[in-house]
Amino acid sequence: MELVVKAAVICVVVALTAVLLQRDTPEMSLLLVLAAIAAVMTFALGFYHDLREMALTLLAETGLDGTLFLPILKIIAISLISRLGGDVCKDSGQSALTSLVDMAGTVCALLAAQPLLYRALEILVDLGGYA
Amino acid sequence: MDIDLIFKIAAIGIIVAVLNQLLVRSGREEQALMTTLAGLVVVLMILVQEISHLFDLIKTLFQF
Repeated sequence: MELVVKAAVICVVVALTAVLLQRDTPEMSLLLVLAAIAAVMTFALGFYHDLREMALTLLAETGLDGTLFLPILKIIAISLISRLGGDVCKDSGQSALTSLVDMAGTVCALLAAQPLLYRALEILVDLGGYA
Repeated sequence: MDIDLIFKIAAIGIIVAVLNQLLVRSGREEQALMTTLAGLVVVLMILVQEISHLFDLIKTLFQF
């Protein structure tokens, strides 16, 4: 609860200040938004360990292989970074850079998902009975 | 949470905006540009360290 209240208050205050700075120095406005992103994300990631422990406990209950969980973590991080980076570029009016960041995120997510895809292929081959 | 960072950058931004306006209104556009650039460089130097720390944290937590 503390996280969402602090994040909301900080983001609203930063948004107001950014609107004020946008008229005269839009670059400073963008840097202020970047600073807020860095600060709030650092705070939010402080709760990551609790979430990870909960996810590992649930995974242990299901009996699934824990190594398959790692690509999912990586894809979550990649999606966070590409989403935030793309939105910052969009806010500054650079839609080409937004597309580039999205494309880079997609390529990285596909690479991170390779173990899962190979595992799924193995299961399909086993089920199909192909050698 | 590093809220002080946000306040510092907001304060630098407001000071740069005010100085920019003052210099532009008194006909010194080049100096206004130099002031803006100086403010940008200062904020970037602060921000790059924080963003680097954030990416290191993400790398550690998500096991990249």
